[in-house]
Amino acid sequence: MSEAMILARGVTKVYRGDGAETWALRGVDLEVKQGEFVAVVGPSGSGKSTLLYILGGLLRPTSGTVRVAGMELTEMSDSELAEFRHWNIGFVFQMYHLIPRMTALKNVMLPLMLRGLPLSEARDRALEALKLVGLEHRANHRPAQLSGGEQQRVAIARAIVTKPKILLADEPTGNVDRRSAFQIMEIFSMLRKELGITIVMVTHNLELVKFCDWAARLVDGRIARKYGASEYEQLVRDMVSSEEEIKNVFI
Amino acid sequence: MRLTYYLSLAFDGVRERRGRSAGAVIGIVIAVAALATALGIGESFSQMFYRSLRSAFGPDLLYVIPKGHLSEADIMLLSSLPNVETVVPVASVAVRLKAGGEVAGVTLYGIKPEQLSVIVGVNDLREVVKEGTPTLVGTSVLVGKYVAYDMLTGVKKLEPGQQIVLEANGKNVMAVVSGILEPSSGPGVAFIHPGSAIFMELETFFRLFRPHRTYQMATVKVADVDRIDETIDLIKAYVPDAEVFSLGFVLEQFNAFMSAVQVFLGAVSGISLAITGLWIFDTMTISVIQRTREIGVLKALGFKKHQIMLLFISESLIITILGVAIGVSLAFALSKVVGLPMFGEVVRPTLSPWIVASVTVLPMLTNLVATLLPAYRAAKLDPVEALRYE
Repeated sequence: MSEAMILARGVTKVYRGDGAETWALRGVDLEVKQGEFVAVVGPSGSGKSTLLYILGGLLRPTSGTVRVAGMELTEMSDSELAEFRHWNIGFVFQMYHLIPRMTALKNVMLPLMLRGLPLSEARDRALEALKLVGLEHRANHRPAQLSGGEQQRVAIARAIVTKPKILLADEPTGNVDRRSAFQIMEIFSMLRKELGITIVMVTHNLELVKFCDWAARLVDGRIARKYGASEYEQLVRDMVSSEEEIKNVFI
Repeated sequence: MRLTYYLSLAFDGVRERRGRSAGAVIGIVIAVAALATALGIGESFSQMFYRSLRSAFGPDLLYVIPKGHLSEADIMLLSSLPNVETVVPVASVAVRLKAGGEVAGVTLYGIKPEQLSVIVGVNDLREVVKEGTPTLVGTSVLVGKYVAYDMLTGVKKLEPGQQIVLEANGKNVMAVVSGILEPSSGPGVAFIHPGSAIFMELETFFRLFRPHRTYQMATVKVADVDRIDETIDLIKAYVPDAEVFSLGFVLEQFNAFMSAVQVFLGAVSGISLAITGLWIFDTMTISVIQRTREIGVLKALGFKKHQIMLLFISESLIITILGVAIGVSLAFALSKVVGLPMFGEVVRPTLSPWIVASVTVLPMLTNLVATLLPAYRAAKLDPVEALRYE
């Protein structure tokens, strides 16, 4: 746990449209070591998801440098970024984003099909990933036949089936009940422990921060403060101290 | 990614949008079947006409068609020209055939008996006279099978040895059927249909129907085909008011005609293909919009632009292959049923390899072009905007 898996320096992101400029990030510095489980918290519109997408190579920063898994993302072409995402990143989204017409198994097989693995190997590995999230018995069900929590676990299986170095989760529990949210956190902890995956999770749910090594509080496009595992109470206090943020503390 | 995976994922997409996919497939089926049938009919017509022309215009035959009539002197002159082997003059008159209480309109030809085999295109007349004898003497006549038989019912109306009456110019002439001529396909030499005509010995014909002894046309057989152009020039010089037609000339005219027909068919087929292309464009555009978030997910998983384009192109390809396969099968089925009656035979579509190749490749190319823009739009989507698309 010593290498910097993610190293962002002075990252800004400005959205321009209709003659207006919106600053989503205003010079973010972030360093995440290999194998760490980090939470990014903050109110809506603070730039959490934007930061996550930049770290995953889905979005280009307006300025600053982003080094992930030893690669400088800002210098990559679109095609190189796609290649980078495929080999290094697993994404988990709040809305699961499973492909409705495909079974859970085929959804999980999709990244392996992209990799060109033989069908039998892709199927075996996808089943293995589904087993890891406790859903091998639901392999032939379509997303519509699964609960929200189950869909998110399938999405996690799809994200980890390629054994990525980094898992980026954008509000992974935002659409599931409390029990499923804890189940998902247990899976993340297990992935970190057993596979050594580095995890960065954006969340509104402060309860879940307890599962992380540390958390970064993002306010108005800047990292206001970083909190260690023992500073959970302080994080809650800081979050609730801002009246505007109170509504975001409890889900 | 493997080709089979592209097809598997594309097939999922096609199956999910069954309604629209089926509509697109039906459109392609109709366009392909219609195009193949139209081209097939054109091909058959072309082949049949070529065959007929070649039987009518042997490479060593010339037709001399005057503005008025050819006289005996003209025929003598043509016969005396260098490189001319035989001259077969043709004299005819439209007659009313009366036999067994029935009356029918027929063309009566006056012909030298020894030249009838040239007209019919056989070495021995016995090959085509299966009933009666192939003799033309006095008022004995040879009648075509379509004259002797009712072709609808197959009932025989004339027998060898039967007496008939030929009426022309208000004059009734008694004649006797000596034999029945089998029909030949196509127009036959000098555009005479032996199966639908009556033949009489030339001298008797002149005596009874045309005392001034003139001919409507003459068929000239040359000895050396390589010198045919030279002979044409000579005929034009000696019989200046006559047109001279050779196989080369007629084929040239026919080719020009068929080119025009093909341009027309091409335009019609182009429209039908454009319509299927528009349908595919519409289907794929809607598909891209409906699957915007899915495209964002694929990009997050690491799909590159060209791979996303290929996914949509594969979907269009599956729809097109299905449509073409069913369309070509339907065209083959129709080619057994659909036909146009022409020159006494039914012309059915000929689905030659080039027609099958054309109706396969053209829709694929059209639909590929129609898919490129929606597929490119999908590939160009910003992944984050696509993921956030509502």
